[in-house]
Amino acid sequence: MMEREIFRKILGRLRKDELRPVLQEWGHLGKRLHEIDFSHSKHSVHSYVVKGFMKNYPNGHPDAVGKLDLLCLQKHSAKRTWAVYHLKKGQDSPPNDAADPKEFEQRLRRELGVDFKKMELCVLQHEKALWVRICISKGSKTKPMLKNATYCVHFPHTPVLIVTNMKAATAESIKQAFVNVLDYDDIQDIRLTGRCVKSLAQLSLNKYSQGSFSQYRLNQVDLQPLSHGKKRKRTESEESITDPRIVFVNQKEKKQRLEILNDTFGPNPQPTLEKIEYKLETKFHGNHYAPGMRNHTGPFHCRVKFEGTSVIEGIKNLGKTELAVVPLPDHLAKVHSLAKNHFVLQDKTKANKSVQDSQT
Amino acid sequence: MAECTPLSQITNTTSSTGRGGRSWTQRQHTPYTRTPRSRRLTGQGKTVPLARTPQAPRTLSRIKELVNKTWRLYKVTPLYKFDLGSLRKYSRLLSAHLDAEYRKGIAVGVESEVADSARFSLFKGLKGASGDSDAIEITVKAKPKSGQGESKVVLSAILCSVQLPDDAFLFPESFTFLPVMMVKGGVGLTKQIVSWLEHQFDCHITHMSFSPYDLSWMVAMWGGCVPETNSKPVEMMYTVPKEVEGLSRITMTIDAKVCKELWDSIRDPTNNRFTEEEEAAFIKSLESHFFYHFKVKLTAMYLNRVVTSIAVVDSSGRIKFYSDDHVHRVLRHITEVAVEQIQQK
Repeated sequence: MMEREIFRKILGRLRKDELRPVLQEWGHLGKRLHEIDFSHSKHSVHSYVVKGFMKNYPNGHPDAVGKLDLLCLQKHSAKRTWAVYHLKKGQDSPPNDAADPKEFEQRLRRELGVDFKKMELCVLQHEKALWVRICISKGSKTKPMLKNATYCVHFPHTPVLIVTNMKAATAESIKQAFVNVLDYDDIQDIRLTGRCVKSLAQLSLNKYSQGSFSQYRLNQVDLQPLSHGKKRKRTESEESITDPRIVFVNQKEKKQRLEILNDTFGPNPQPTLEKIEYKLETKFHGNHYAPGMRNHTGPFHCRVKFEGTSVIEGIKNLGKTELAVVPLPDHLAKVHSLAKNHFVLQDKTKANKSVQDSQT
Repeated sequence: MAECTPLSQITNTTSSTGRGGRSWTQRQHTPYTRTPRSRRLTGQGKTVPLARTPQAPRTLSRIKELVNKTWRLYKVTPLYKFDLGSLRKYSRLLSAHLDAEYRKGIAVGVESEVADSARFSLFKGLKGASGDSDAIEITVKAKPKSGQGESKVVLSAILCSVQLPDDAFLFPESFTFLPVMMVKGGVGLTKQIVSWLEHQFDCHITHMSFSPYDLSWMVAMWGGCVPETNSKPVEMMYTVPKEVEGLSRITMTIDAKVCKELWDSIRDPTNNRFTEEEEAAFIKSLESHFFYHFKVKLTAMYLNRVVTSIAVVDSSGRIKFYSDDHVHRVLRHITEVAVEQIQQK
């Protein structure tokens, strides 16, 4: 039966040690969960789970698949790329959005039910955020397919929505549904993508307290700034080479460099971004080596991509290891406070001034 | 050229060719190479075909089969006693060898298929000049284990030499020099074929890898070749040194049209060869454009992969051609680099 395969597929995404807690939270197995011996092979454990579920619900259960899928996604959210959307409100009055998952689900179901006759919807609360799974079937007769499921994360009372796997056909309807349910006016893609939901949330929600300001947010600054007592100096580990005959000539420059980097990036770990893309539409600046290009008018179109496990941390390390000249330009150093990772760099001309003004 | 021996001074040409016309017995046995001051870019080199030599018609050329596939490059030392007339004999021997390997239990990569037959054949259309040997193609077909179904090509290898540089080493008649081998197929099967070739023809076949310097030459030479249709942006991918944790690669993609303008501006159109200064100008201008915007020194990173409109090459020796008109140009350069790398040993 189709459901069996779907269950197997979802369960296959979990690791062995994650099976028991997820199934417990799922709750649809009830007492039969204790009958399953988890020391067997993954394949046989999955068979037991499916059998147990079928015994409990011989006619199936509409929300079971959705809930299990969402629970698995919460454990493995880094496997998908997420995009961040920003909800906008025209007037100053705060939106009347729902924080209760049940109410939120009801509202959303009503909104989406207008456009789509057949869909699966599941809302769960996880770590201060509402995780939503929307699975829409194309025709009226076909069942919703697993790979068409759209997943969204919403932090209550914030204008931030993080979405993955949104298909072009249903994107507009889903976006409009969220705008209506959360009582906003408009939704905008702020060009921030990544794999780590927590980092994306941090970048978009704490936009004005990143970098060195993160110290204040995390309560790391001196709690008694007016006290005049001597502060205990933090002993920083210097070079591991303690031979007195070795003289480090550039200690001062190194210290200055680290100070500047610390000021820009802050001492705390940076939020992880996998990719930063720049589209350059400036004039060509390599004229020193290519004098023939001095007469070249018009922009030199090129794109630059920085990729890695944690690119902002990597850029800080570029400065540390002297592969980049410090102080770094703002569009590279201040990425943590800009809440986006797709940038367009243009020359400052009168024509572009209006664009710049509208973006700030 | 400070290290010329008196004998080579006589044979040395006055133009700025790469190594001077020395035979392989006179080459230096040092680990260092002189980087070439200039390289061939276009044209036939010194051997221009005579008016009466029949050219292979374009329809017979199978160059289109090379395009849009990823090939692994190997460099091959001269083959001893390779006879173009005994291709059928070689096919039989190689098939027998593959069969024996399979029976021994050193099974070929894909479990569901059994390598069945190997065939040597001439690959027309890849010969650059009359001084080159004909290109050879080895195809290995496999039948599915179940016994049903047709046999399909499991591996395809092409040994070729396109316009050997004039100053490559000379060797006696019994040797055939096909320095470049392109392979598309499974790793296990490739290994077996390589070991058989080494055994049969007393040669040495190794992976070809490109240093960042080689790749920068390639992007500089081909960055300006923009075919009318299907032009791709020029891309250079750098890997970041391991000390920088978190960042793994930086990619710079330049629009094809603008890249061509840059290329035209640094190039001296009268010269058929592409000089070192032009290569340096191209790369350095792009890196300084990058530095102006990001204050990051690209010169300290390792150029790993290069994409142009006519080919994409990466440092591990994988290559893919995009345009069949320019396959010759690319292979000519690869032949030159292969010869240099072989001579280095």
